[in-house]
Amino acid sequence: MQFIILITILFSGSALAYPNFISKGYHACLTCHYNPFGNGPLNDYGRAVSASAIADRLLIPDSVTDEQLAESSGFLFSKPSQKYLRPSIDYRGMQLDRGIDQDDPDRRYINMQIDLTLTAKFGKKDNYIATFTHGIVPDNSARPINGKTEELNYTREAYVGYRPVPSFGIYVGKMDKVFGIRVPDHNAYSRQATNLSQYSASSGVLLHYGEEKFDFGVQYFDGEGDIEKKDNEQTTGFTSTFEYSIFTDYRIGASFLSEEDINQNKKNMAAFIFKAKVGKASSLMLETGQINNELVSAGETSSRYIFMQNHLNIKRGMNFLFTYQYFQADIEKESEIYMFAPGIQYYPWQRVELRAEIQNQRVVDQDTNTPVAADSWSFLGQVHLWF
Amino acid sequence: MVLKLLILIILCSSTSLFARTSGRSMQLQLAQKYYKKKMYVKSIISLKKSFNLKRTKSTPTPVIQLLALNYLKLKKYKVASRFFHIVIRRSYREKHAEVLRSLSSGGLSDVEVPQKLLRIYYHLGQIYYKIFFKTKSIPYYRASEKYFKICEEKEHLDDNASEYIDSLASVKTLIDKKEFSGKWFATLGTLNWQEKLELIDSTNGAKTKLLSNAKALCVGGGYRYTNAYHGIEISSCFYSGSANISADNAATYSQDGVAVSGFLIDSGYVFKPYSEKVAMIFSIPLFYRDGEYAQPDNFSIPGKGQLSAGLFVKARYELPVIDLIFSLGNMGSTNVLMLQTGYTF
Repeated sequence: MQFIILITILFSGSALAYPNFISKGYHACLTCHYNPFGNGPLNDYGRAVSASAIADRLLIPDSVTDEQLAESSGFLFSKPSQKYLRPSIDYRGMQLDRGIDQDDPDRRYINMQIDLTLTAKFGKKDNYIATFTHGIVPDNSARPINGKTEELNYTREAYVGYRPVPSFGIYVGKMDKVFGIRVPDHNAYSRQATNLSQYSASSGVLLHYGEEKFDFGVQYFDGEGDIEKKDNEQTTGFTSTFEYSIFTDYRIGASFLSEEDINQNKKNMAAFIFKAKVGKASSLMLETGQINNELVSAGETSSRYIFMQNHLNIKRGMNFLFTYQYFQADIEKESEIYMFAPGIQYYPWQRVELRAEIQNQRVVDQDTNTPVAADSWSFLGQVHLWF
Repeated sequence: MVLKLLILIILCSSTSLFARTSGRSMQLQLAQKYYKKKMYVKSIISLKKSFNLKRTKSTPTPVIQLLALNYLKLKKYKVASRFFHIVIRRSYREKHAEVLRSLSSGGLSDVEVPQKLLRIYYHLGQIYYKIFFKTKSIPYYRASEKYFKICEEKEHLDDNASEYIDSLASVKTLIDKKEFSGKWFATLGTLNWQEKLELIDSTNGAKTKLLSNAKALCVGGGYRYTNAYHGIEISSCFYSGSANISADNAATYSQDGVAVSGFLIDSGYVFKPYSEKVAMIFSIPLFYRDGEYAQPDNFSIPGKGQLSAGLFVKARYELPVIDLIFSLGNMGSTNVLMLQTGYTF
C-alpha cells in the first residue's frame, strides 16, 4: 500500500473524461483514455485537453496560456519527465442529503472513490499499455458485503493492452464491462440495475475495433471471487457494444450483455444508445434498455430503464445538467420510478470537478393497495479531484 | 488699327487666362504636395483658394478626386464618398453601370475595369466599411461588401479586400444575432405531477391527507421572441391523462385510473448562455387541473379542479428537426415533470 502511494507520488497521471464530451467533438474514448471504452486513467492528450479546453481558468491570469496549462497537466502540475510511466490519484466524494424537504433530512458524506493508478506504456505509438488501479473505500463509506461493513482495499482495474494497428486492440485483465453509456453516475438505474456500478470491473478479455465513425467491442468477463462484489455481482458472461456516428456529432449504438452469477441467476440485457452534440458545447445523452432476469428463487422478471442526461454549456468549464431517469423494476407490474435532477457541473481548474444537483424522485404505482408515496427530494454535492 | 486692337485684346485675355490657369495648376500641385505630406487640411485649404468647392460643376475632376482622398484621410467618410461618386459620374459613368450590372448578374470576368476606377472602388469599400462599423446600418454593409467584392474579383488588393469581406461578415453575424425575431412552436409531450389533496368528512369536518400521482399526454404550443442570446416565450399545453390517489393508509381511500385533464400555461425568460441551439428557460406557470376523484357519501375532496402558480425551470435543445424540452416545476403542493418534443415553425 505504501509502495503504491510512493510510486504514485513519484510519477504522474490522472483519470477523468465523460461520454458527454461528444459536446467537444470527442466521439471515441480512446482519444483521451488508455481504455478504448473510457473510464480509468487518461492518456497525455486527454490530460492536456482537460487542462486546456474542458476546465475553466478561474483566477488564472491571462498571461498563462492554455498551452502552458496543457504542458503542466502532468502529476503535481509538471510536464512528465519520462514517457513510460504515468501514475495518478483519483478522488470522488459526495454529500448526499436525502429528504431535504423534510424537517430532519438524512445527511451523509460518502467517499465514493479513492483510486491510485500506475500506467506503463511502451512502443512507438504507445501501443503496449499496462495499467493497475488500487481502490480504497473507507469503512464509513463502504457498503456491507456478506454482512460486514469494513474498509475496502481492492484491485479496481489491472489489465494489459496491445494495439497492433491503431484501429484494433486486445486487452486482457480486470476492466469495466463494456455496455451502454459509461457515465460516472454509479447510482443511476442504468448502472445499478445492470450490475455496472463502480464495482463491476471483472477479469477477462476485451477486443476493440474502432475507426473514426464507429467503435465496436466484445468482452468476456469473469468476476467470480472479487472481494468488492456482492454475490449477485460476481458474474461470468459476454458483453458487446457498438456505436456509430450517423452524422457529425450524432452517435447511435446498441449494447448486449449476458451473464450468470455464482448462484446461477442469469441476466440478459440490451440497450440503445444515443449521444449528440448540440450547439457549441452542449450535449444530449440517452440510454434505454431492458434487463431480463432469470432468478433461481423468483423466476423471470424484466426491468426497463431510461437514462437521459443533458449538459447545457453555460461557459467554459460550466454546465447546467438535466438528468432524467425512468425505471420499471418489473414490466409486468405498473410501478414506475421517475427521477428528475437539475444541477450544475463546474470545473474551475484542471483536476477539480464540482457538481451539485437537486433530485426529485417519484414512485408511481397503480396498485390501489399501495399508498401513493410522497415525492422525495435529495441534494447531491460532489467533488472530484484527480492528480 | 482695329486689327492691332483685336490682337491686343486677344493677347491680354489669353495672358489673363493663362495666369489664372497657371495659378490653379500651381495650387493643385501644392495641394497634392500637402496630401503627400499627410497635411490634409492644408491640402483642402489650398484647393479652396483656387477652386469653387461648393458648386463643383466647373471644378476639375482631379481636384474633386484629391478632395475625396483628403476627406477620406480626415475620416469625413460621407463627404469623401460624395466626391468619389462625382468622379465616377464624370469619368466612368458607363463603365460603372456596366460593372454593377455584371456584378449583379453573376461575375465580372468579361468586364475590363480601369485601375483608377478600381482604386476608387477600394476607397469606397473602406468608406462604407467604416460607416457600417460605426452605424451598424445594413445598407452600408451591403455597399462596402459590393465594392470589396469587385476589387476581390478583379484582383485589386484582393487579399485586403477578402479580409475586409470576412470582417464585415463576422460583424454582420453579430448584428443578426442581436436581432430579435418571433417564432411559433408546437409541442407534444408527457406531463407527470404529484399533488396534495384532502378528503373531508362532512359529518365532523375531519381531514385526511391524500396524495395523487398523475400522468398525462400534453399537446400545445407557444410563441417565442428571442435573439441568439436571450428573449421571452409563452407556451401552453392542454393535457389529458389518469391519476392514482390514496390516503397514507390505502384502505382509507384509494382510487386509480382517475381521469384528469387541464392546461398549463407558462411564460418566462429564455437564456441562451453559450449557443443559440440550447436554452434555459425560467418561467412562471399557471397550472389548472381537474380530476374526477370519487367522493364517498358524506365526504368531499375540495380543490379537485384548481389553479396554481409557481416556478418552472426548463432546458431546451434544438436538434436538426425537433426540439427537446425538459421541465421541472414546483407549484406549492404540486411538483410537475415534463418531457416534450417541439417543432419550431
